[in-house]
Amino acid sequence: MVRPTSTPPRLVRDFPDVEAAPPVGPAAHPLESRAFQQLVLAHLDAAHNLAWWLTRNDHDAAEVVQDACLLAWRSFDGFRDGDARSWLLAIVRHAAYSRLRRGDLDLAPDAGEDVAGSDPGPLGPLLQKASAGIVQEALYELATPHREILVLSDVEGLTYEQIGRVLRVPVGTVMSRLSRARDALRRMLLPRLKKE
Amino acid sequence: MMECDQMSTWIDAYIDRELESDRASQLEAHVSSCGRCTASVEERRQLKASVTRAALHRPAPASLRESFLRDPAVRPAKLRAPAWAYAALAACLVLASALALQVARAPASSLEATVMHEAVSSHIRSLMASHLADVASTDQHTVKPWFAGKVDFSPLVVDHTAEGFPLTGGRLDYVAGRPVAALVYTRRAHVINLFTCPDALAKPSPSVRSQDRGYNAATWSDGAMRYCAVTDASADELANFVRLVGTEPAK
Repeated sequence: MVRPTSTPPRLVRDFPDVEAAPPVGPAAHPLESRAFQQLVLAHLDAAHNLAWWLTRNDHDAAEVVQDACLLAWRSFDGFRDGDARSWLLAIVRHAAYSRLRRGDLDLAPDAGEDVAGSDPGPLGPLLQKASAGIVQEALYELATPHREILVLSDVEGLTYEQIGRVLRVPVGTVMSRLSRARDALRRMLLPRLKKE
Repeated sequence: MMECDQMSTWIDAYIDRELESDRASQLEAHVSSCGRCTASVEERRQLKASVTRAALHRPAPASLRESFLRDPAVRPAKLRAPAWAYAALAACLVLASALALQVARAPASSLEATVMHEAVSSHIRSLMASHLADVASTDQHTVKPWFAGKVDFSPLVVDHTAEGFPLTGGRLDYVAGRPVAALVYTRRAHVINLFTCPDALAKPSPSVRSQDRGYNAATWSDGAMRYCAVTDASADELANFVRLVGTEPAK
């Protein structure tokens, strides 16, 4: 067998390491930790996606995901079977907002928003030609509540029920918030599409 | 119009396929006779599609996965190296695998080379850590369901004991930036790891071989799934195994 020149990275799944570590969460049991690792790994992309769109930069997104992993580990005991993705995304959201409140995040300010204007007329033909860059820019500039629900629905592809679990609101509220968010996106896109 | 106002509150749920069926039929009936609402439905659909089409998903960078694997979130983030350090490390690793590509025998795309390189690392790790299987079973009907809920696809699991390649188990692994299903087979005293995950390119491609750190590797795709087999058995044995798996497209 070939002997690698350097020590491989230590993995959580190596049981003894985990047992030697001081228990932090209530679930500091090797079997738990492996289940935890697999659960988080399966949804790490979704977690990062939400964290990125809440913080809008790579550095803070990574920090938020790490905060969320710590929080998730601590509350893993309370999570059994169920919708793991929604569970983790709710924690990511909580972690992002905690940092926001503490002022740890170097956030780009939300653009001025929701200027009630006259009906801009049909957008359909313009939308068909909308470049990815323009859509991304518009989403980037939307106010956080609008941005997060659009990301959960149209980027992450969650159902209303799952979004409700992440935002901790009833499905009816998801429906009306999403509708308002699309109104806002439409208003944000309109001047950009006309310029393009 | 009152009716149009009512309908406009339903349109988003309708295009998201989340509207209750009786309301959906009400809306469809109204839309069929109302040009304005037809246009609204179409526009909202376009609006949603423009976001979906823009491919705005931001998956976790490899550096984040690595730091998570190294440390299962039991230490605060402050103690860790800054994100740029991991980014630099990741860049070095990418460069290293790009260099490894230069010496691979068969011409391979960078995707194939990366997959094989990482699969060999994973193979070595699985042997060193004595961590071959999360689920140790020779029964394909035990191994296959084990993956449900752990990965977002269902890997092909077939036992080849009759042909001299018995299945001994499976585990969850991580190769080329995503979770993969690793199936463990043995050939006499040799271990074969078969990694499976959905093919990012969705393009059937015949197998490409490489020799890396003394191991033989082969990777191929049937268009839906990408497979990568790694073993210390001979290249001929590996070729037999690839034929046995049977998902390789005709050359």
